[in-house]
Amino acid sequence: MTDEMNEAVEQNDSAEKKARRTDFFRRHSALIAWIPTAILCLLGVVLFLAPIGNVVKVGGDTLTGYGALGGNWMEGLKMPVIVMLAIASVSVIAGVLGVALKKYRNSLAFDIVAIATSFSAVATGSGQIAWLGSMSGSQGVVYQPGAFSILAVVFGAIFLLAAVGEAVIHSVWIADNNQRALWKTTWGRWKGWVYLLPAIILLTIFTVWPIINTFRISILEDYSVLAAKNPETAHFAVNFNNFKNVVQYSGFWNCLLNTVLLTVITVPVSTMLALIIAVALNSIKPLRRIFQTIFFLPYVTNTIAIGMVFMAMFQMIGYSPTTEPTSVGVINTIIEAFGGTRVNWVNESSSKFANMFVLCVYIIWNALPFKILVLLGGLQGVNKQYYDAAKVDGASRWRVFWRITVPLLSPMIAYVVITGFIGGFKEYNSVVGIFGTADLMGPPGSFGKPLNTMVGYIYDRIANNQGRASAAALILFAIIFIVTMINLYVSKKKVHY
Amino acid sequence: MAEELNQSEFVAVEADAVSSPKTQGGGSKIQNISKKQKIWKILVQIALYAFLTIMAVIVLFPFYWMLISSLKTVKEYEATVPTFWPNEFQWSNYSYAFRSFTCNNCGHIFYNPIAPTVCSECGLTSADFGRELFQSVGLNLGRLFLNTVIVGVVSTILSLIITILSAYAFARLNFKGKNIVFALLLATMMIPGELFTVTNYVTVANWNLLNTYTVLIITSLVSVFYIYLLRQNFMQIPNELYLAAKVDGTSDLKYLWKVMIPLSAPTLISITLLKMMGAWNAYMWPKLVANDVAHRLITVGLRGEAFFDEILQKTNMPAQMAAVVIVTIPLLILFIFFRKYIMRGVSRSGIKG
Amino acid sequence: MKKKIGTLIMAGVLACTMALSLTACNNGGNGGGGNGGSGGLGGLQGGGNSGASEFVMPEGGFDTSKPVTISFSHTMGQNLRGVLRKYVDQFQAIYPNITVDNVDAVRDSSKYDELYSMISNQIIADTQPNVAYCYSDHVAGYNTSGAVLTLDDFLPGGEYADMTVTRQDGSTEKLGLTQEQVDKFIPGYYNEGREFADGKMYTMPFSKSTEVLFYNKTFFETKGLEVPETWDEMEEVCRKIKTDLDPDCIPLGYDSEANWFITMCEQYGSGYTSATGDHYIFDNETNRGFVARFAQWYKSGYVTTQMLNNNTYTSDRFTAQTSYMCIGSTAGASYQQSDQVQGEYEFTVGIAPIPQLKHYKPEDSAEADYDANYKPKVISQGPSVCIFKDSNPQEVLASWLFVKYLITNVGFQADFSRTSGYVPVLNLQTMLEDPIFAKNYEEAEQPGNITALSAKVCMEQENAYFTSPAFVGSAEARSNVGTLLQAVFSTPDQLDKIFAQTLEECRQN
Repeated sequence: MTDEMNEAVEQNDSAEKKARRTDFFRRHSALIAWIPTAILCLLGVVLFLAPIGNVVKVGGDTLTGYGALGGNWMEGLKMPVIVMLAIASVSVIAGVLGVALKKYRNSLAFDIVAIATSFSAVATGSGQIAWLGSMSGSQGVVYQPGAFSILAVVFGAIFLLAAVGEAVIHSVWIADNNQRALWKTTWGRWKGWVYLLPAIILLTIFTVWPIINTFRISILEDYSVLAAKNPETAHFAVNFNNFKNVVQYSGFWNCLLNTVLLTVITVPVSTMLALIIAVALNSIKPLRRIFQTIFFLPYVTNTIAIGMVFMAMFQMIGYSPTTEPTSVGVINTIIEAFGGTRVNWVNESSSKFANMFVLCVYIIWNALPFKILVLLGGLQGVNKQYYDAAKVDGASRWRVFWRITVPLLSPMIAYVVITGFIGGFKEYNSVVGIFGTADLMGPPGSFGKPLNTMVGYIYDRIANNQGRASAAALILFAIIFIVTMINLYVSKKKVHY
Repeated sequence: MAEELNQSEFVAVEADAVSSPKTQGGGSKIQNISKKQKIWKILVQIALYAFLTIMAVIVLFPFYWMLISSLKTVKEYEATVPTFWPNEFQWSNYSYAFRSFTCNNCGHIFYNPIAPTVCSECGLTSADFGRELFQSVGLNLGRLFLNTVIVGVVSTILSLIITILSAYAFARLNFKGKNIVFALLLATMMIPGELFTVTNYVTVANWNLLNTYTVLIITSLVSVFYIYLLRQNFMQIPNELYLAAKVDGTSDLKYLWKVMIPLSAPTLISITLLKMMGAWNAYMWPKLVANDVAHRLITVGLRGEAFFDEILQKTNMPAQMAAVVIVTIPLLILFIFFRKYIMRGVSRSGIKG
Repeated sequence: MKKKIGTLIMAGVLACTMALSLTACNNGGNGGGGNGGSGGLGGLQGGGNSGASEFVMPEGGFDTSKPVTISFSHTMGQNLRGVLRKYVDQFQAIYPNITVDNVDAVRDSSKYDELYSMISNQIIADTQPNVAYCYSDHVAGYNTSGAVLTLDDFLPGGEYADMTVTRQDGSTEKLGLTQEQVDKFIPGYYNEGREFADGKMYTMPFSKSTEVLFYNKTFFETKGLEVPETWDEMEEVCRKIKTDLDPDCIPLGYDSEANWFITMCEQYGSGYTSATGDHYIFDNETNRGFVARFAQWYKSGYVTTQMLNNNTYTSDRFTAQTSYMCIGSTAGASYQQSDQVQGEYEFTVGIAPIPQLKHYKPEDSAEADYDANYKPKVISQGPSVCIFKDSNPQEVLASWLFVKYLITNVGFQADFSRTSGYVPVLNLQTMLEDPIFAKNYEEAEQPGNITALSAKVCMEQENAYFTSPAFVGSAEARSNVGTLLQAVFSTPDQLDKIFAQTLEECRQN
């Protein structure tokens, strides 16, 4: 009996010991966890900063810092370095604040910070080594990474492994159910960000940064990328001269007018036409597929060929002030067959009105397939019961159309109109397609690019003067933004879901 | 009573319903009325077909022109009086598009997308010849197809993963700043692409990514339009399913894989198809960053100088048209077979505004 | 509280990034820290072709023992590449350590403006070639980044001109051009490389073309017409043809509106553009005068231009005999000849120099407008080559030797000219040393030898060539004055407005 009692006591003891141990860990787990993590963080930051003061050997001389490569250290810092520095410092601050406010007791945040900073140390160090390695060899000079870079890589790697290991240990070994649940909810709160991470990274590099850069360029006077490469000329004054120049140029207002006209004419007309065709298509059963395929054709074809065909259709061959044209073009032939007089559509001394007409026809032709598709898809999604109810009430076709179809289709119509406006403001290819070259942007004999659009203006400037191109692009963006906001506001009022 | 009868007759005829026994009273009068309705209906149908046919002809005419132009000789194409049917059929315009290499030794023309190692005509290899035996020439449509397919497939697969994850995050997960980020995302849709070109070019050049497949793939991975589209689609799947799964302890990823993806398969197919078409039509950006023969994409090649006669400074238009026809056919086939999915994908985004 | 911190953090990171990026970039961008783009996401990028470093002659000059590779970007088609290959092989035999790359690669572009944007982009990416086809206008653009090498040091009197290089066979040559070699160039072509604001030499002429008057010799001889030598005579001939002989035709076709405008500015000496100061000086009384005059011609149906001819070449009219004269490029000479019908040409093509302002040749001293001091002016076009700076001075030297070889080698110039329709850059006396060239020259007058004939006419007016100043915007100016001309033709009453608008358009660059 004593043995059993002893065993029981022992078991009790060890159980108690275990309980005490677990209790101790439980109460101080956060503290236990975050001390080593905090140390790792700080070390990470230190190592991270170290490459700045790196020693670089250049052919025997020992020079310090990025200045060894010919500039002050501010210029030597490249963007990723800056970003990582920002992340590191902000997360350290956040960590300290969190502890101070007793909100982030669980060490998950610190685990992440530790991993991030040691990773950035590794990255910076190895990045610099790689960079210097690739620089070497030209001009027979050898750049050697200094000790700190190597330290950054080696120790950073060790710390990285340690931090990862620690994170694993925290989540598996020390944690009890409560803490696990806490971590799960924290993870749950931030999980969305992780899912979004690839998209955010890519967007930052290829969308956000260009936007920032465009703003930057637009306020640099006379900026051009080639000039920026030349150390002698790479200093640009900061002012709004680019915007001033753009706005003062008479051609700019012409471009704006053309763009607005084209959009305002083509969007409503193409939408109405698409609506009618979609309704017509929806009302017939046989041959529907064939017609659908036919109407989708312009969407899949290449615009250049079609532009030239349009030009050929409207053009008069052999036109000159003194001689009779050898051919009046297909459209004119049809007009004359119906007894009308021929029109000078796109030849020399044709009126801007005629040019606009041809352009609008072309743009509408191009815009139809997508719109028909969307509207037809929407139509087919409309609940038949509405129609049946209307028939029971004896409504005429016209009323059915206006009172039922259009309202039910209004989300789709809104979408088509909004995207149509956005696309219309970016119109460029159609003008080039109709008039053949980007030089003239108008019929032969014209000057000052009469039919040029906003995007055309941007492209004209982009070769030599990116500063003005950026300014113009920003103005265009502002316009599109305002128009879209108006459209969204109107659609909120008029659209039924 | 008679009026009510008339109205119900109206309904019966319009809805093509089988006339119920109740409406069989008053036979001949009703038959007269139904004849009138029938005639009216037929007239409307004829009008509809006529309208559609006229529109279809207008839409088709440029294609017809393109087709016959592709079979003309250059002289006939440029003739002052345009012909509506080619005088002689220049089928060689079509094989011209696939020209890829010529042997520097014997001048034989090849059509393979990738350079051969031995010349089939004169039997030499580059080693025998002392230097490069094969020279690139012409459009090399085969290589263009290959490049476009590679870039299209890889970027579509990767992009699908990113799009699904992102759309899922916006649709189902709750995290801080979700709404702000989504609004910002939508804002980027409105910005004209021309803003980005110069900066992105400098970025890509600095990372030595020019003339690689990588640059073409990376820059087309994230499309806010498709994330938005898929998010709408995900949001239409009832939340109850999600909560039920959560109660059962399914992880988010498992739920995504087993439930969400199968349910939104049509939209996903639409996105895939539209993305592939995007790779097909891409022009300005690929032209800027990856324009060497090994990486050129289809539209860039078509609009490039493959058909451009250097000394004349003129383009061989019929040959170019032939190439355009060849390039259009796959897209057309794609549409014919996947019409339903493309339409569904395109129309969904408008539903919830 | 958590929410606030979260958003604060996010805002903080964003603000940091933005602020730092703006400051880092605005510090003059990229100068320090090695190469790399215009600041920003420069990354830690490898060196590669890091250009824009000033040329420093290495110790010992050109090292013939070290292998070096240079690249050459051009727009040559297949046939021309064959010619180039032949002479590259010869060059590589002379200097075996040099390899010229990219000779057989498919041309990256066949159009000059595409070549310009391609190379501009390459400069941005630091992957520009060593040698490239260019126009002076292009070089002005490249040079805003300081990427083009000045060649003065290699010309007579230059710092490195007298250094010697040893060839494979042991013989030596001077590194730079000797005065004797410089004298062999057609002066107008050679001086094109100096048309920049700082007066330094940046390009070497490679192969040239010019404009000549193609006329329907058969028609002229049958109808007893004289080939016009001045613009007044041209007006007279056109009037005669239009009113008396063939009212439905347009007697004269002038393809390039820009060339016409610029040539007239030079003939009148009235000013077109300037590399320094106010760039655009073409708005003056004289120019308005001649533009208005030629507009009258257009309205009377005497002349048409390419743009007004529905963007088709006027040579098409010429071969179809709806025009009897055509002023066009010598490079396109073969397209002025109509196809043979049953072994016979429909008509013989005659080639004459383009009309000038007045008579100046001694044999015309009897003419009313004779002026012995008048210097004839004809435009010169066609590619030049420029050399880009490189961090490896051996590559720069190799590039220079390669360029020097191509432009001074009579065989290459003759071969190239024969295959392309362009004209050699060396003068007639030198070119006649090549036996095939000499033979072609003698047989030029025979029917069907139109390319040789146009080359002959070119070389006989070799002292009349001029070039225009080159600066950023000169290419656009050229295009704009071309638009100006055809616009005034179409609407002469808007002449003032058109001139003003064109000036404004030019100033946009």
